[in-house]
Amino acid sequence: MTELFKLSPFELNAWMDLLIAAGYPVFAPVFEEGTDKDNLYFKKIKKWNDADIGKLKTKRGPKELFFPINEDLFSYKYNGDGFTLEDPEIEYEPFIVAGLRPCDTAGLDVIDKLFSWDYKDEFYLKKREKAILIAFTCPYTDSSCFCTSVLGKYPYKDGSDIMLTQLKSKDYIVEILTEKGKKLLSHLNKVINPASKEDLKELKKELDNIDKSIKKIKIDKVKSWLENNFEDDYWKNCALECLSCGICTFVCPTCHCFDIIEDRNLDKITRRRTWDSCSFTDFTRMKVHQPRQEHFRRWRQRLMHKYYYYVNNFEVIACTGCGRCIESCPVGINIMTMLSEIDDKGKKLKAKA
Amino acid sequence: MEQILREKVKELLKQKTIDLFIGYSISDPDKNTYKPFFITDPRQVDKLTYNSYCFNNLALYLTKDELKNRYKKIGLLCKGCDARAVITLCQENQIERDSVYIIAVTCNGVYRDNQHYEKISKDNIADKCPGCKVTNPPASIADEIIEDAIKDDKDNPVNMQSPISVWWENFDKLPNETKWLYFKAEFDKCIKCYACRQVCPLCYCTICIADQNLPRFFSKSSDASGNAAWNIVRAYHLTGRCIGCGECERVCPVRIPLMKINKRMSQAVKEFFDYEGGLDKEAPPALVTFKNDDDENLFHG
Ligand code: SF4
Ligand code: SF4
Ligand code: SF4
Ligand code: SF4
Ligand code: SF4
Repeated sequence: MTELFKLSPFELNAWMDLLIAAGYPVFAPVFEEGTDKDNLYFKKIKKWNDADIGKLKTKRGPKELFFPINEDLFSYKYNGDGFTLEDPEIEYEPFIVAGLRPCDTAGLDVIDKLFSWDYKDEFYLKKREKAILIAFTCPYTDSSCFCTSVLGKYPYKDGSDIMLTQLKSKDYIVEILTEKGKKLLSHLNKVINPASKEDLKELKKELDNIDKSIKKIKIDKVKSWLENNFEDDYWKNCALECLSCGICTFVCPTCHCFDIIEDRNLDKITRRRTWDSCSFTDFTRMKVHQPRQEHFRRWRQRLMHKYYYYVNNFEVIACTGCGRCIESCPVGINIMTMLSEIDDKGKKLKAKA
Repeated sequence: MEQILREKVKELLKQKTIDLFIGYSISDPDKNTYKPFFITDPRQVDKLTYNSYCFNNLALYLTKDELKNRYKKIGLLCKGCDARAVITLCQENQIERDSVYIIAVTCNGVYRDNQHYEKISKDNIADKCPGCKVTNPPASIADEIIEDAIKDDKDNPVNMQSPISVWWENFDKLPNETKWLYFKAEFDKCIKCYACRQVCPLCYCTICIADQNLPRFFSKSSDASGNAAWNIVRAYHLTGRCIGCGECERVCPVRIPLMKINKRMSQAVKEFFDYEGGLDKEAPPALVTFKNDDDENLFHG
């Protein structure tokens, strides 16, 4: 389904505030306070005015709303002659995430596959089911964006319930993409203008412009090269500067590795899952052994996982081209450059064969 | 300066004096960012570049086994603070002085971020730079020094008082409880990405205490208690060793003001032991040296 309407910024503001008033928790990009004041995070807002949708990307993407950095699974207590188990108290209620970019919602679509695979992860899936996603197309793009090379023509819409695009006139075109999205519209209890033919032309122009401004790289030979070149010397020389920190994986909207650990507080022990990263030197080192000792093996894993293994398992690339890893890497490692290099190698191989 | 550097590196690689040179190259021209650049082929020297946006402390690569095993002699470009890290690594027996070739540069400070600036001023200089003692890098550690005039006048922002020290002068007057709450709130934000550790030239432990799991010293999850434990342990492990390159704070994705902690710890070591890390290659490090007249008040708080 797609229904198209037009809203003025004023009406948008009113609509969002009405949703908050109707009891929906609304999460939107807001600037952190204090030392971290230049970074945006998805946080619960009290009024729409607090949201900042003018800046392109949040620091970490929306995954932490569904798959938090730390999540309690259960806890237990010794009560003298045995253990009492306690489930965490979580109430799953509908909530809204507004101000996502297409690459954000695409990221959630990627992680969905894993959390609903052989084991259905209720902590994640229940939150996903309750969430209503309102995406805003990008007000500008920057040199680290390459979403269209991975996701196809701008904008990726599949993950959103509603998508808004601001036109030159400052008015918004609202695309209702799902039933969930449609329900939200009913909260704006006034007649809304459907988008006119003229508006749709403007919309197309706007989206085409965004599409054009995004860097394009070729990645169609990447998978086939990865498939056949696990032992290639390329890896030994790639990303030598990498520090093996966890930043690129923590800011990535698709990375989903976690560890399960127990934290003890006096007599109460909580089992929780916590973000982990394949770039850590101790990743998977259970008692004795980390199979990827040298750092190049960990970097290879990162690319292989995203552009080969995940594609084999779920028919989707575990990267949305959001460019966050590029922006946040302390030593300027650029996945776009590496993908282009690999694609070139793939092409040369093909040519030889 | 760039041209001199390129010529030098080209010679060094050609003569096989060094097998690898680590310097800087442009990363993203749109964002005006620079990154570490590894060079083994003298024909590539034209990509080498140097300016006040070259923030990384490259000394961190000297202790990486993967590089040590592969390259016999590594050349390195060092600002003064980076050179202090090399000195500390020598003091702590982590590297052989002869296995590295240091090209040091004199430095008028680096910028605080990647916006386009014309020249360094008090408004755009990185917090770590004012008050720097090594704008002229210690000659004892450098194989060569490329000189750029350092202006000695008071107006040069690098000669001003450190804004972090100024901050502490006021902050130190507050009650302990208030001070703790400030840092606790900061630690709460930590996501345990360990970038601060990974980027630090002096965090070279093969297995960091944070990674040990038999036994675990503190939780791997980034909850409040685990975070505070991590940040405090790290601060202690760098006390008297940190050379103030500011890299940890620069890379922290949630911008925890780690330099405030480092600076205060260094100040304490200076007060109690009259020692500053990384200035003298022959000096015994403060925290592994016992002297009969050591001031014990430190332990009474
Ligand atoms: S953020 Fe950069 S340095 Fe850190 S692990 Fe990722 S690629 Fe390596
Ligand atoms: S790998 Fe990088 S570009 Fe791809 S989704 Fe993750 S953060 Fe974005
Ligand atoms: S990667 Fe694409 S969707 Fe994401 S912010 Fe950039 S242009 Fe927008
Ligand atoms: S603790 Fe920070 S400032 Fe000190 S040496 Fe390490 S990275 Fe540099
Ligand atoms: S870099 Fe910052 S967020 Fe990461 S572990 Fe260090 S203090 Fe925590």
